[in-house]
Amino acid sequence: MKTSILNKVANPIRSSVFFALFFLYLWLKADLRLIHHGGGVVKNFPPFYLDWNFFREHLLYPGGIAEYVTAFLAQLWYIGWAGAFVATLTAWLIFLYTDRIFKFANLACLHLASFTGPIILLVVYTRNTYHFDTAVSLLVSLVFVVLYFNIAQNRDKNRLGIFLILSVILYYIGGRSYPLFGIICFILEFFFYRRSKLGSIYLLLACAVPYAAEGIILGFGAHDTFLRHLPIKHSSQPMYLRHQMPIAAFALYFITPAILLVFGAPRIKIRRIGFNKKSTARNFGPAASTALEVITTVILFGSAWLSIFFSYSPRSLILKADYYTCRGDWPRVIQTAQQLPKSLLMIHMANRALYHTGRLGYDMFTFPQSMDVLMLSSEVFGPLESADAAGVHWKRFGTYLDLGLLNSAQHSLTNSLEMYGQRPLLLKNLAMINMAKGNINSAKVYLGSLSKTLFHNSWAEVYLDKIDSDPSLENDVEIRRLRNIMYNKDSDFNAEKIEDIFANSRRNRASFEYMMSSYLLLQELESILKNIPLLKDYDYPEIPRLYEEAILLYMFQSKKSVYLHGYKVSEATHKRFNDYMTILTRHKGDKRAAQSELAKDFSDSYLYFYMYGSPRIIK
Amino acid sequence: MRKNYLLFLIVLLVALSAVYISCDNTITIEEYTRPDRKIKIHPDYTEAVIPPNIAPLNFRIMEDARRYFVKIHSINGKPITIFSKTATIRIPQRPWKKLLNENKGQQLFFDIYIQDESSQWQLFPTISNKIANEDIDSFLVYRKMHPTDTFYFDGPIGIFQRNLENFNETTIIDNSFNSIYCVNCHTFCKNDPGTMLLGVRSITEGYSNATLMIDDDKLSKIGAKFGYSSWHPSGRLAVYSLNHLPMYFHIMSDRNEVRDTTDLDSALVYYLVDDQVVKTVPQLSDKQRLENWPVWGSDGRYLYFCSAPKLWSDDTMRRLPPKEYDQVKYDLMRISYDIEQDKWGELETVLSSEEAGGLSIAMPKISPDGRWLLFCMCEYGFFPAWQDSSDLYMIDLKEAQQTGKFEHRSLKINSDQSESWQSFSSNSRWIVFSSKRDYGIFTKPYLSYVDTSGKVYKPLVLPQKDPDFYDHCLLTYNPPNLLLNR
Repeated sequence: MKTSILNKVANPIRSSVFFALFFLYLWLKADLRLIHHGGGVVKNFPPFYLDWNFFREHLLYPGGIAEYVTAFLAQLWYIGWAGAFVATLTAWLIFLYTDRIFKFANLACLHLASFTGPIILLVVYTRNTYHFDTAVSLLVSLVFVVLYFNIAQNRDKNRLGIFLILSVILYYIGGRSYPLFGIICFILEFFFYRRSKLGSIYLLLACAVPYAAEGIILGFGAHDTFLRHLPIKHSSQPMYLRHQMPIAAFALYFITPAILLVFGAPRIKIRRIGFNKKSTARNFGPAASTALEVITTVILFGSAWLSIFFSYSPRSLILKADYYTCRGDWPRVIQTAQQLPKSLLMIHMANRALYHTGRLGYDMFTFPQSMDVLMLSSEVFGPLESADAAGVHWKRFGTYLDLGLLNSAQHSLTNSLEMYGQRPLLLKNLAMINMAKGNINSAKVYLGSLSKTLFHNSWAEVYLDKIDSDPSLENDVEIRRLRNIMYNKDSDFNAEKIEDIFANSRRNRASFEYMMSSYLLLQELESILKNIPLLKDYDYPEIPRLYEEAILLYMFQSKKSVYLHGYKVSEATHKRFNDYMTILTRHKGDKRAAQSELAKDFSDSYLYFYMYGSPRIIK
Repeated sequence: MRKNYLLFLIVLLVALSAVYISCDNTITIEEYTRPDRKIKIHPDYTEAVIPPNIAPLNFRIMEDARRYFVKIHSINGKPITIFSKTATIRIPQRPWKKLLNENKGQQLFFDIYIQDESSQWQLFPTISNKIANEDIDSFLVYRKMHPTDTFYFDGPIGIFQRNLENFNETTIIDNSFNSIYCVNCHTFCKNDPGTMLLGVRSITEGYSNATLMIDDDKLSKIGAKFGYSSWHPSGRLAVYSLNHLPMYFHIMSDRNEVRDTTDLDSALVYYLVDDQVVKTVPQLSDKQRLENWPVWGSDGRYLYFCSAPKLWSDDTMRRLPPKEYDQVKYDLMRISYDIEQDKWGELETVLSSEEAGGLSIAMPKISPDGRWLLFCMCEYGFFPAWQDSSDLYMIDLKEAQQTGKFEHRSLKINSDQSESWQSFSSNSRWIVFSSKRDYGIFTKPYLSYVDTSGKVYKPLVLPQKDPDFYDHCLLTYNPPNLLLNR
């Protein structure tokens, strides 16, 4: 009696605790907002528009309704807790319906296995990949399987009819959920209910219906029809454009039928050799029962923890830094970059953050540096086919906007739009650029598209109203700012010549700082000195520390004094320079011998970079 | 009891239906004022010549009001009346079709009334359009895609067919087919979908770059990449260009279109359908010149094309773009051809860039009746779609035959944005072209009537069911081609 109560209570408590923790993890740690943001990493996040045509398009093909609902629910990931709630609810329902199906198969003992789907989803979310569409697709299949067995219970003669009716409904609503529904029904009927003919018909229908509807009527052909119904869209495109973690999607989709097959297939063999012993449930004592529940719980939570632990990927940090970058939360960008300080993309974002916090001239050498990092030059990433190069377009547009290279930013944004879909962030920036360039007709289309999104519509409508009342947008502060720094010279078609950029956009402090940074990296001390007078134009109260160090180095090497146009090198920098030289002298000028001692206090100094260069940077 | 309840429900439903039917949307406006100003509608379907078989020109009234009333009428037939609480006016298809059919060659009027906040009705000056006598071909084929800067298409891209008599659009081919990730230019023979060429790009082994050919409704794959192509009117051969077209990007921000391209090297070759062989002749593959945009005259006796001197050596081609990229000016040339003997004649200059005021000539198209030669001219290069300066021009070939002079004129329908990708209907009375006039870089197709004297009338954007459709459509429509049937 006690055992039975324990069994009845333990399972709901365990699953409730599991999914409560699941929710908290997704909300507070995994942060689904990052997947919604995409950050040049997630490429298959669906767009969603509050628009009748968008809805109507989804009604026109099998599976469109499920896709529409999935796309809508996925938008809620924009709000951290709401996204976590939706994702948790989906996982919970997958668990409940899987559990129910196992009960149909008289496999209640596999209760723990019902958590497999949610645990795979934990891995998927931890790795910031988007497979919510597969999760919903799986859920829809499971719901229809349960519906079928509930309705068909005690209706032996009508089972095929019920299956056919549900098939029609599911095929229209769920599309690619249909074959899975057919496969699970086949396994249950064939192996567990011993209705081999009926089961075989279901399997046949699972393949034939999509083939007839799409392969023959819509003309997709057998090959394409088959691939369309896989959990991820097979693609002939380059690898970087494909879904991340396809194995997880496949595992999520096929795990339930696989488990059923593993337990169902041997039954046929047993039947054939005439072994028909009824299995009897073993009754455990209360202590053993409690121990079993504890072990089960430990296994469950342990595997969840392990799956999270082993799923950690640096890409989460890059995604997080990009998320903060796009929100202009610069201190957090620097904080995140410090956790992955040797990544090229990360340092590039950190440099932007340092510029925006006024620290680029002071702290840039707290990270390893190179010219490739500063401008994200394409040479370092190779051809566009590589995954890194694809992400570069997304990272570049912000830098180009800072530097006033509006066309280059537009180019990067347009490429990102092609690769990552119609993300509101991309549409917003494209609208801003086109408004700044005076290309109002193009801007209105981007704004029109944004006005139909769930969370950016009001921003778009404000700008559409502004265009109506002031088509030149002269009174908009941000547009005016962009127009002031806009690059208007069609130079060498090479956006990476920072001197040219600065020469053409002298009003832009970002291009000044990036130019000075490039001089530091190229060790052009004289060029730094030559540009010191410009500090006044940008209201610098003092010479940034790294420029000061460069000036002292110049003076030391040339043995000349310099005129600093009213500025002076601070006492602190003088002292730091002298300390550096003292250590070097102590080692009799032997750079190699002095390196470890200098690294302790001077690794963030220009003096150290000048002498030793930067540590290796990883792509 | 249950039966009574059911009966009551049925009676209620019938009564409600009767009330609904009696309250139809006809209203009587007895008092109204007449403002002097013109009312704006979007898209701008005013003072145009419209095809008698076109889908309803749904529009939005650009005026805030409580209620809207529109009366669409002509000389014959029953007027269409639409009452709406929103500014969006959706015209019912059947009465629209009937009204247009009964009034070919007549004016079509839109009387627009709006009710302001004080419940006062206002009738604005009537909007009129003319219904042409001649139908437009029933189908329009175009490629839809993002205005992308990459060759690696992941977004939506496909060739679609729109029925111009209604709003149905069907997919011919798109990248949802797993083995295809880009579909390029499509070329038809005499507006007939039964003879068609279509470029397909794929990186999947076994597909790669290929051209799909439909000839007499039979599909075959040609293992060669066709550039810009033109079918000989006989359907026995197609001329196509071989190009080296890298894309590059302008940094200068006051240029709306970031993208640009230069044809670094090119030649024209031709594919003989029956023999399945590709041939070329020296006149069409001069090493010192860049040949492009082939198009056959309607009788198949002349091939027209664009040609420019090559201003760089092969060594300098490594630098992109070559520094002379904006000095390349194409001339319009032609060459005679005898299909029976497969014999080419001598080159003739139809219109040189110099004669054309230093502009560069591209995309020539000839009307099926052989009378009109329609082409683009832009500041430089071969690709007008990415240049604001591109406009449409016309030459009267009949007049040229009589006078020996190819006089060209600019069309009045040009805008300050790029016009390009023009083509004719099978009856030569309609042109369709791509323009950036209303939606910036999102090129849309426009339809214009051409009368027998060559006058081209105000264009109308391809009508959509939702008049605001283009306001948020992030796809370009290129290049549009009119087809007789599906």
